[in-house]
Amino acid sequence: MFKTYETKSFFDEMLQEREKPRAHYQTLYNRLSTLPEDELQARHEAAQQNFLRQGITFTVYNDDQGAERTIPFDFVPNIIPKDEWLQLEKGLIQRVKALNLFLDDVYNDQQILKDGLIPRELVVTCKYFYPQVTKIKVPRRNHIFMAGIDLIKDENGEFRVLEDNLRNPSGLSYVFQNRYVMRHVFPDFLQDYNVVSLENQFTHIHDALSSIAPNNITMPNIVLLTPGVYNSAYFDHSFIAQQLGIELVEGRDLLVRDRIVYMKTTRGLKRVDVIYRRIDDEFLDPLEFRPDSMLGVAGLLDAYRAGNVTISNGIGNGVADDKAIYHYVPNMIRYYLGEDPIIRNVETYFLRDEEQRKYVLENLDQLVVKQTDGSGGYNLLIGPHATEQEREDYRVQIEKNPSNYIAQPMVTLSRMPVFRGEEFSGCHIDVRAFVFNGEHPHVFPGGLTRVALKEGSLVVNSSQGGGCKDTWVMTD
Amino acid sequence: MKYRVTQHTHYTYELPVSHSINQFRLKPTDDMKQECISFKKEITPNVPSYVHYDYWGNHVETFYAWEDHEELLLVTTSEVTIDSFAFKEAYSFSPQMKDALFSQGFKEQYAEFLMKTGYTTLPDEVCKKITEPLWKECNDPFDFVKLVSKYIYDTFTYTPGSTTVNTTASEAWENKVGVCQDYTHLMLALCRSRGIPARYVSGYLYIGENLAMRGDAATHAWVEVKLPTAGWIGFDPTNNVLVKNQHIRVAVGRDYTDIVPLKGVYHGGIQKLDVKVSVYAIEENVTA
Repeated sequence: MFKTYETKSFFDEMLQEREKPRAHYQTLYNRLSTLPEDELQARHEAAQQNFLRQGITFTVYNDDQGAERTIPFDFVPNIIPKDEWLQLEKGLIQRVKALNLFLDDVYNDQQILKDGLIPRELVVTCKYFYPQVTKIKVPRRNHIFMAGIDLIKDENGEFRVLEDNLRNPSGLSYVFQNRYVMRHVFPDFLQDYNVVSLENQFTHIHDALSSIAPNNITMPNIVLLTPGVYNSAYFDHSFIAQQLGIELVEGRDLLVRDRIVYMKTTRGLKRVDVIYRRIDDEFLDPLEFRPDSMLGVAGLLDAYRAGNVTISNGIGNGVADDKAIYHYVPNMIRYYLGEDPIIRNVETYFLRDEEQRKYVLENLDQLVVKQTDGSGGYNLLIGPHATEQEREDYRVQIEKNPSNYIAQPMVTLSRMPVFRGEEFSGCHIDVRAFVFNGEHPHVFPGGLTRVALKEGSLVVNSSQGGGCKDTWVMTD
Repeated sequence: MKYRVTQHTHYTYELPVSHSINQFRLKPTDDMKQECISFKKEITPNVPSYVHYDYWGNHVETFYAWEDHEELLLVTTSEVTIDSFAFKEAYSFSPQMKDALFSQGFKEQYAEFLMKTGYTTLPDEVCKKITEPLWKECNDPFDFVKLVSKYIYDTFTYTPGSTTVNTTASEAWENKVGVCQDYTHLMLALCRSRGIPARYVSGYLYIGENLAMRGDAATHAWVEVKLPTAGWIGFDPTNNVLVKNQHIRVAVGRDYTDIVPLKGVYHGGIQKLDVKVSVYAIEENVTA
């Protein structure tokens, strides 16, 4: 089945070249080569059924049918050797540490802006900069309880950070479901390897949430605040709440009285100490953000300001994961930690800068252009794959508001085999790594490997037809 | 000048309301030009309030009126002195100052007050059309701001009730009518479009015997611009005057959103709002 598989000019996770697997993939390669095609097909279908049965779906926005879909699963896992992972872990902890210091700085003294390392204008006029939360003493100065860092491998096989997600990164539940399906449908694959188990992860996550409770409370009441069942990531919310053993609540289940947050229960009001919220900032509190929000809780910000409740992730984190700020993260690492970045960025051009804009507009057919405040892979231009007309339309958009865009060289993401029935074909992947920050930082072993299933596509987002794979971190 | 300002903010409800959370920005600014000697508030129903200072330095208080109530009354009384010598009639503008105004450093430092906000967004071509002749005519940026104020004053018809608190600069521009809030938002948009940092100021206006002044019904609003080597300079486009010791400052921000004098969220039905403000001069200029 690998006879026709070509690595082409890409970095392939599994194969060095045609029919020559990398050392850590040899065992899996042998097994896949010996299993009959129809058995693989049957197990592949069983895996998809498994997802559907468990109701693991997400909702696609901008889709007239408004359909809920399952994410296609591919059984060839992304295997990361121990040494490579340890290095990556260090880099992720370093990055999140610097980003957290940046948030604390920006909402307090703005020293980094005064020192001119990042254009002040970029930060204070950012749509996600919320003056409402300045000078609030956040417990443990922890703004980032959970980070989702999107990683890619470039053509040389070096990990790079593509994007930071510091607001409400989703996808954790899929990681567990991938492993669950792998264990049930492909137990033989797993038995061949020593893979770091995910068993105790929720204990770590619960500990992290407890450790950021206000006033050092030891047994805090923790809740997960969701916008409700219509949210695209509702499955993620309910799964995490269930696994953590915490209440899943909506805004209408909470109230704030005299600066204290309470949960309405059948036995009366119960004080809430930590809110792991999955509602966007501007919907959190109709008193201080959008007055028309029906999802939030009036007074929440006042309770936060009084130091009576922890809201995680912190409010206003969007100023640090904005695509324009991304460019400055390596500088932040040097500035706050005095260290060189362990994981490199992808080169970025700013369209607000006239010279860079000129370059980008002249080379649209070779670049990827993104909106700085966009997410989910919506409205981006992949120059080399776009038609002349699409590029022209995008050019008009850019010229209307250049500061709203950045461009990056077309990074050829690494590829890996994906099962297609008769054969395997190479598809591009990225990995969303999760970092949890409590008393100590903790990197979740593996993360979510997303794969661009459309032939030749580079967009791995599940909303754009992406699929996922299990991610294995080896213990030896 | 020394003033005593009293504001009655009175909400009456058709049916009793509860779970009410409110926030107000009503305490006059206390700084080099203006001293807030005293500030008292009285809330009915009688509940405590919690103070914090926001990003712009404004004094903010939050209170919870939880039990059923049919009315909510907030009475604030402040005594304020304004240093009459802190104001100048004119600013001599050197070429160096002009360079400083348009330097990257200045732009970065006052970035918040150069941005377009929900209230201050005006189509670029409108900004251009209005400001181009004024920019050509003016001697310097200070003069330009004066011309903008005059332009708005001459073009607009002051009409209480013609707009709401939600009216944006561009909506007001369409109809050329409005109140101080609309004059202010429009002026902010025009100044910012030419790279002059400008901020929204809410406060009170002392009218005294001068019946020609507008904006006496309740709280007033005007503009402050930042020019190099000068502090923030106040312009009142509603009256087309340079702000001096008759304007009592309360809060500043990028636009109305940042300075809303009183806002709240509650459980219950329809409300009626009545605001009464009185400003008395209790001492004329005292020469030192």
